[in-house]
Amino acid sequence: MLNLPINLASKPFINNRKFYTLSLFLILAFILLSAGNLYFYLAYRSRSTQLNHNLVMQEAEINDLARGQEQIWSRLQKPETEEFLALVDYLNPLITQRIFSWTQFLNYLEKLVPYNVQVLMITPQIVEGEVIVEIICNAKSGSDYIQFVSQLESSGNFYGVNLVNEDISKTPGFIGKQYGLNVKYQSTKKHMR
Amino acid sequence: MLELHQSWSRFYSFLRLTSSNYFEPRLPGIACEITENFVSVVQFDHRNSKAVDKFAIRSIPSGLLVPSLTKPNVSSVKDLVTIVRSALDEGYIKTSRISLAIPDTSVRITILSLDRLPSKYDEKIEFLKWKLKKTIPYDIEEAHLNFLEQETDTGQNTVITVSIHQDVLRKFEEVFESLEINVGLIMPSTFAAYELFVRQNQKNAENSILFVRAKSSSMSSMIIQRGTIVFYQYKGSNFNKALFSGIENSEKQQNQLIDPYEDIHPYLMYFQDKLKASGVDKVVLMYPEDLDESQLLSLKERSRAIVSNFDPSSLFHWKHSTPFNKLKNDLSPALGLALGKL
Repeated sequence: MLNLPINLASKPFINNRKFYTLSLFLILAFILLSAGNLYFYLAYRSRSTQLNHNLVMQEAEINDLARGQEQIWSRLQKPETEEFLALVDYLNPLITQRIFSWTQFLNYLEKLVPYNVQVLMITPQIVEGEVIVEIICNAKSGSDYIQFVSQLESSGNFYGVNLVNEDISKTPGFIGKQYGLNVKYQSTKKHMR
Repeated sequence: MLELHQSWSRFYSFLRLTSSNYFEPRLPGIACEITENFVSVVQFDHRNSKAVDKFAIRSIPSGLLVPSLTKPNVSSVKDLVTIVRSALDEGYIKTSRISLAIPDTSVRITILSLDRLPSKYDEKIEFLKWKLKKTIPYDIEEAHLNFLEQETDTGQNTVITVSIHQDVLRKFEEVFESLEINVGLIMPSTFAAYELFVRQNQKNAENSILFVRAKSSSMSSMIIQRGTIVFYQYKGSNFNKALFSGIENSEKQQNQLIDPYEDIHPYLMYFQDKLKASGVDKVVLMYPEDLDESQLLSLKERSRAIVSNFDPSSLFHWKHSTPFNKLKNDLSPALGLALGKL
């Protein structure tokens, strides 16, 4: 290096190190960026391949399931199967009615029926898992019937009380009205089993 | 905390200097000097950077190169190309890059004391051109100008300006263009020799030194005050020719003693009076022939400064049969430039 850096040359020496250093930095940056991009590309491609593979597997599984479903449906749609299902539909409510605890029901009802009300008929039915009981009763007056309904609703074992019909009592010797009502019975699980 | 700050400052300065050096232009280890009398070429060894590997000196016919500020110095570029080529061939030197020292007479060197310079480079050049306009014997717009800003220990700014007429410069560059060599560094020969002097005297940076480079027809003098050039003068025709006629005819007048005191005395006085300094501590003489001990002692007593001959031989390894002492005046400028590669 010169101590007296005076230069009269019209084309002085130049140092290309700035250019080379800058180029080196740019090349390194390019290589790093390319390596990064390549890494991410390969990672995403691998993941994409995995996802595509999973998709194909799941589509195959869906197809298998669909085929299985069709087979089941076709089996179910056979005439002998339809008869069997109808039998099942018929037997299921019967089984449910068989396990209905009349003792428990009548115990509850005994406490709720007022003095001037006579229970004539009780018909339990199982509809969509609920026990709906049709009760036909005679009541001497409307207030007795209302008392009966109130006690049913407040008992906690009955709800959804609906009056179905009201007529003059046909029971010989009984002066009053005959009521038909539907009430939902809150039977316990123990009873349902 | 303060120590940490100082350490960081030192480290930062080191880092800046290192990076600055790293991006500085690399100079070739080959340099050439063209004078009115000869062409010299030197090359440093590639492996052993301080060994002078090759050198050559070829004389120039009288009138082929006439140093001048205003006229093209080279009367025949073709002839000078032949001489430079023969010098390169003689030294077995092949290169595409070279540094060049040209005669001091071909350039105008001025030292300006300024309070401040504009901050932008173009503005500095314009300002310096304006300052130099009336001191240069040609249109300043035709000049190629270069400058160096320095700061003295008193805080004053001095600017060394070196200007050369474009036609003069063009001729020198044409010579090397013909040889398909890129001349990327051109410097006046005294400044080129000064490069050697500075390297040799780095320890004496705190002294005031008078550096005198005398040739048969001219003398260049510089005063360096604590590492800053504060004075430069070139003397041509008014120089003490009687002194050198004695040297040139030394065989006939061996008993005649060289006494450069009259030459250096005005500078010593100038330094004391005009620059208001206490005095020059050291005088270094680069004369065609070294002064002997008695002459140096005599000069020392009269000038009240240490006087010595310029001897840059310690800066490099000279492995050639010709004693360096006989060639040092002819090779010093080229060596100074070639050593710039380090």
